[in-house]
Amino acid sequence: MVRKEILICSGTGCLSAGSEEIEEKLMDELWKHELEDKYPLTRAIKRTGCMGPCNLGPMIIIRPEDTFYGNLEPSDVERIVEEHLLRDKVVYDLLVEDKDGHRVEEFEKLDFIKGQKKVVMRDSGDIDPSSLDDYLKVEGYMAARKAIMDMDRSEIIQEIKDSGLRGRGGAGFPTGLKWEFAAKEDEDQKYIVCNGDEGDPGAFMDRSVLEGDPHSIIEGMMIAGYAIGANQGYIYVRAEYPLAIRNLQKAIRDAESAGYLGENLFNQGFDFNVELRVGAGAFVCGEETALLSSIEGKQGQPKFRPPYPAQSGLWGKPTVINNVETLGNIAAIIIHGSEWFNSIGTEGSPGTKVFAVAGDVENTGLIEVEMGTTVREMIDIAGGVADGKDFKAVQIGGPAGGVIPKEYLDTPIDYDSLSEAGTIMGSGGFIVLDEDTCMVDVAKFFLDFTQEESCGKCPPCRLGTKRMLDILEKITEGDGEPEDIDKLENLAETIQNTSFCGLGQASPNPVLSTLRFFRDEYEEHVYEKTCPTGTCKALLKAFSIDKDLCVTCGKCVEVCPVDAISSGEESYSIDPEVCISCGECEKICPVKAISEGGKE
Amino acid sequence: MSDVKFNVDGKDISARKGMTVMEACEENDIDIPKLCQHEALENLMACRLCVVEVNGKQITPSCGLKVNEGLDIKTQTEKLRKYRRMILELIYRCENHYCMFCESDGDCELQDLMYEYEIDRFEYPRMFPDWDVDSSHNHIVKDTNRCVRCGRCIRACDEVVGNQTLNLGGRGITNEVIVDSGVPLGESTCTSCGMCMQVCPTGSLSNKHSLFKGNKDECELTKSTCLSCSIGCCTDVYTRTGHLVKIEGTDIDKESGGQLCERGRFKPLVDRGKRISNVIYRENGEESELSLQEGLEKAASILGNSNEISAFASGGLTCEILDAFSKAMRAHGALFDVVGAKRYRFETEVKRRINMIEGHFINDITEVMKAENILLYDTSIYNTHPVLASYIRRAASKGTKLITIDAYEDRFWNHSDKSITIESPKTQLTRLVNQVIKEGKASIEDLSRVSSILGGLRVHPEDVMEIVNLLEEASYDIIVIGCEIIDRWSLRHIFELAKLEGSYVISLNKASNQYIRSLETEGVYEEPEVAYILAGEDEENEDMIKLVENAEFSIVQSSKKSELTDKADLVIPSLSTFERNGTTIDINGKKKEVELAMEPKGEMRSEIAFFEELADKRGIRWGKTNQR
Amino acid sequence: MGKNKPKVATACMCGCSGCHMSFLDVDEFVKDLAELVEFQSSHVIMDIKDIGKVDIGILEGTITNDENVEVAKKMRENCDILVAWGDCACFGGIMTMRNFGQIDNILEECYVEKGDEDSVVPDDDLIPTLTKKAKSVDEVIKVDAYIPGCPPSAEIIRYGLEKLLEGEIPKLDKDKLRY
Repeated sequence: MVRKEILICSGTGCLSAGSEEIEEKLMDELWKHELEDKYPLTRAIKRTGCMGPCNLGPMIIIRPEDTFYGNLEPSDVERIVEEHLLRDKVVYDLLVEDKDGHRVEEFEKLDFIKGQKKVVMRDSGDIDPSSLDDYLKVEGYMAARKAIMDMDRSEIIQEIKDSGLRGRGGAGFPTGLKWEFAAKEDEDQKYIVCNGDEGDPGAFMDRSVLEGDPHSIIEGMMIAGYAIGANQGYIYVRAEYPLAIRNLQKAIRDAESAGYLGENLFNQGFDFNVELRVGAGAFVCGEETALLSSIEGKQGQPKFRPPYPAQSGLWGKPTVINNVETLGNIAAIIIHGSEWFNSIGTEGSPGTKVFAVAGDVENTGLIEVEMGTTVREMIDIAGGVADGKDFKAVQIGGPAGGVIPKEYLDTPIDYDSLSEAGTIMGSGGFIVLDEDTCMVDVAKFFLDFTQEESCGKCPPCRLGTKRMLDILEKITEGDGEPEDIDKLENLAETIQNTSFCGLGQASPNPVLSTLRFFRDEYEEHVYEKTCPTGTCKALLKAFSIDKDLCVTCGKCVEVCPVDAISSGEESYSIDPEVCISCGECEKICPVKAISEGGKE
Repeated sequence: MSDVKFNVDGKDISARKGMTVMEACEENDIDIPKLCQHEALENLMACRLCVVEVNGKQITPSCGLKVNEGLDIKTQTEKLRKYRRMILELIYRCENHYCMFCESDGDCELQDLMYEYEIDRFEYPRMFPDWDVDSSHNHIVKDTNRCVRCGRCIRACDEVVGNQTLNLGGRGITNEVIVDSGVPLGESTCTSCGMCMQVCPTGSLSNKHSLFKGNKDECELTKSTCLSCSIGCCTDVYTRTGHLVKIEGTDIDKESGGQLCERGRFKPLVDRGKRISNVIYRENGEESELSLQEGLEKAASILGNSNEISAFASGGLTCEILDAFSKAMRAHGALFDVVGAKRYRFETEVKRRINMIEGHFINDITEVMKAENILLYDTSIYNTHPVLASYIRRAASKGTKLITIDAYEDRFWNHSDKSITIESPKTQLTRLVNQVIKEGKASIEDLSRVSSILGGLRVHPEDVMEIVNLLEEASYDIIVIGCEIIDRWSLRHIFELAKLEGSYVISLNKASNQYIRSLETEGVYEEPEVAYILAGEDEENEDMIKLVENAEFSIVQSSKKSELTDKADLVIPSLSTFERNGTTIDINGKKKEVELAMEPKGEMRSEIAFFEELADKRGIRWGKTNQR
Repeated sequence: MGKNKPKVATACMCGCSGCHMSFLDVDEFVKDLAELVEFQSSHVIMDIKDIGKVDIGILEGTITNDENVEVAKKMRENCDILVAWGDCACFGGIMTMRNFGQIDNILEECYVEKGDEDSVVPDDDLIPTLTKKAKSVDEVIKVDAYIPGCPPSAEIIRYGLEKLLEGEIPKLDKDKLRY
């Protein structure tokens, strides 16, 4: 019998879904069947980083056959051990179904995984992030060795330039150019900073990479440091990511003691050290100049550019700031070459992009796809819109991004096409919205976020976003006035043109983008005082009971949370003054006698 | 500096390379609105009102944009005006600005801009955020309701005063200026200099003592010099109908950033002692009022009949008054001294004895900001010379090593790298240091031996070592000696240290007017027949009180009732600081004008004329009055 | 003769009448004004308080109760050009400071907590009901001309009236505008 290996996803999502309990149960079962010799725990059960399909957690993969079991309950473990491990028989009914209802055995054949192309997430879910050995087994630090031993600085920069890699933090600035600028600066001290201050609501790709493959980021920084002449790196992570911090700390320690960090790396006279800096989780610290201020121990507020950090950054020294995902690409490019990287993705946007897919889709989680994949294909990978509902739009790019409606479903995902469609790549938020979503409410959600996270430095962002939010609230509460939409647009224009930093300038985007594609929905809120999707509770009218249909079953009385329904002999009735339009009675009524309206 | 040519609103202008577009426009009288930019402070670029259109597309704040050949700048397009109007309305309507009862109504930069942009209606309703007013401070009211978050106060406190008391806290709409880590201003590390208030564009930080006494347009402005200490800061004195309204710093002095200290800015507004308007004569427990002329006759006859006269003057008087007083007193054969002159005499004596050359003495106190190390003897300069203290803090914040030596608390505790407290005499440490240097570099053990020889000093040898090492390494260090060190031995040791190490010295003095260096002074009789005290408005002086108590007959000339005037046998009125015209000499030896800001009140019109007449009684004449 | 003269009505809502007082400071211009316009109603210079059809309607004060709302609406209905006089009418003024709190709490504080032992919150049908929030005039009705100031000076009031009589809507430029 071939010795098997059990990979258990221990990303933050699976941990909260109960993966530790599964792991414990697994160990119990192995003990029970006296398998401890055959399956020494340290080697047989491997805790990996995020595997991607988060809504299938807790999940395990059994190797070498790559069998995937998802949505596990502790009670399932016994069968997996007894049947799969002992008798080598796949537990068929614990397999995950594909969209046609067929059980899928192999992880790679999952609908969710099939359409993906993994570059940055290559090791996450495959290796134990706390083990340097594991990383070394997947060609870890080979890229650094190649770069430092066999390439000179300009060659590395040229390779990155040729690869066409663009910053994955949002703006898409060519990474090779950034390195070149910093490399040209004639300074003894330079820095390389990894921006892990991932702050977009719902985004967690940076976290997953840091948690699942921390060495790859260190390696990317090392190569960048060598290329620009920096021997100190900083990784800036938010305090809300304890697992990422723990794994990074261990990775840095391990790399140091194994000689992958420190002095005279690969005997080439190059020193490189990495320090971890933990931020308090201010959204604005994702902005590079604010992040640098924060590392310096000052208040995280953006600074005026120029000078750009590549000329004068951390403590006034040339500094390259790259996003986690950007750095995650570096080792792969060095190993496989720029030509290989160019073959992936589109001409203007080579490579892949990781998206945190959330919202109304069947399968939420991390999806890494080739650039140029269409929005439609993305949604297919995620199993389509949940509950068979209709697609309405997808919000891409987080609080600085915008929505893409049905008509643009075939928009390829690359920097330029997204920008044409009025949104941005951003850091990779991808929130699918179904037909029941109110677009005014979506805009309100994002604006509420930026408004609260504004650093407060400049009035357009600090006060303008609050004003816009006030107007959106007014609209969703049914007090919207005709001029409010103009006011939103006026405010947005001023904020875009006069805010200090990119975050402020982009803050009106969610409103402008929803206004562009769903203006009629705003107008319905304002003029008709209705919310077509029923999301805005204040706009719902009181429910009433059709006397002719009512069978006086009394079910509605039971579910009404505010006791608005009183009984009568022939029919029940709802007191419109008391009714909060929650709709519970409508849902439960067996004869469809209850409907909204009738208040006015 | 080379010139850069570019175009603003269709007009070709040229500016020096390195200037910002805003600075260049200001030089060319092109008006650009602003709230956060301030010439004494680093640019923050926060208010976004100074945005201009660059080359027809980009919109950029002009305070951050450096001039560049061929730039095409538009400052007043319809679009820019629209944005500025929007920002102004956002600021005005999101916080609680109510001009009609604001102290700064008429003196408000926000209000001026609202008028400039002709905002006579608002599109958005008020927000009514809930902010508390902080009135815990003795002099300053901090009202967030009127704050525009320009950050000037924060930068002023940090960059100009070197004190870092103010900070920004909170995100988004809850963002506000906080004090230290969120304490009331009155319980904070604030030094009460009032610089924050001076740079505040609105009524968010205002002077408790000037509230509603009139805005700048309603006041008369006199440019004068502060006589609170020898730094002699330039002041703008605002008066209205003959009363003092407020005192502000001016931007004439670039290094000081226009700051004043608590004594210069607030004390004259707070100190409302009873004014002496008549001559008072006390005899056998009886008190009688005399006219000024009768008082003069009385003083002349008493001085004329005495052999041992001690004349003692405050150091906070103008050169002209000190001069006239000394001449009048010498006419009557008195010994003459001024506050602070003793220290100067000692200094001269020590310098002569140890052959210390003048080159060791710096005559520009702003040099401390360039020093590598500062060794500060006596941290009382925090109170006596607050502006110099601010320079020292600024230097320390930027990396200068600061070592403080004091017998009591270190008032630079949060800025000093090393704080040494030794019991009096303070010279012990210096002596020890000198010993070490003379003997060559000693080990810690050696130092312990030395210290035991010197006898039971409570000084850690490590401290001595550190100072020695520090001074030996640095190429530019400055020793600042506070004015409370007045014994010859201390001065000798410190000067010797400076000489040995090639350090520079800034020696401070209690006299505000350094004219005392040119005046002939000497130690006076401690128990004279007659003591004539000419008081200024500086702190009550113990030497003066002792003299009045010890004299058989005492004459006190003062503008305000005090312990001195209560004890005197003859009290003669004098003018207040703001009623005088004259000159003063500051610590750097620069002559500065003291201007009359208010008409003299009471019978006394000129002290100089009074002293001339007093001298005339002994047949000694000088000046105009006597030629008449 | 009086037939072609434009008709003017003025009214004061919740305010101190300071703007009207300032209007009286135009001194002898009142005489000229009386030649040029016909005052239909005005509480400071005539007995008629009921607003009738006019060309120019002038409002002072903040809208803080239902009577104010009625006066404002009536004025709007009856005039062609509506002018807001003073900071209260234009911006809401000092009266809006009550919006920092809830109206019931404020009444309680004024009449009960700070009143005599047996004082109560007045409750009489004759007393107009306070609106939930105090508002500037343009938050309730459309305003055509704004003359802010606390109060606007007599010269500014005169300037505004002269412009109106010339058939123009007055707009204060930066030299005239004062809050």
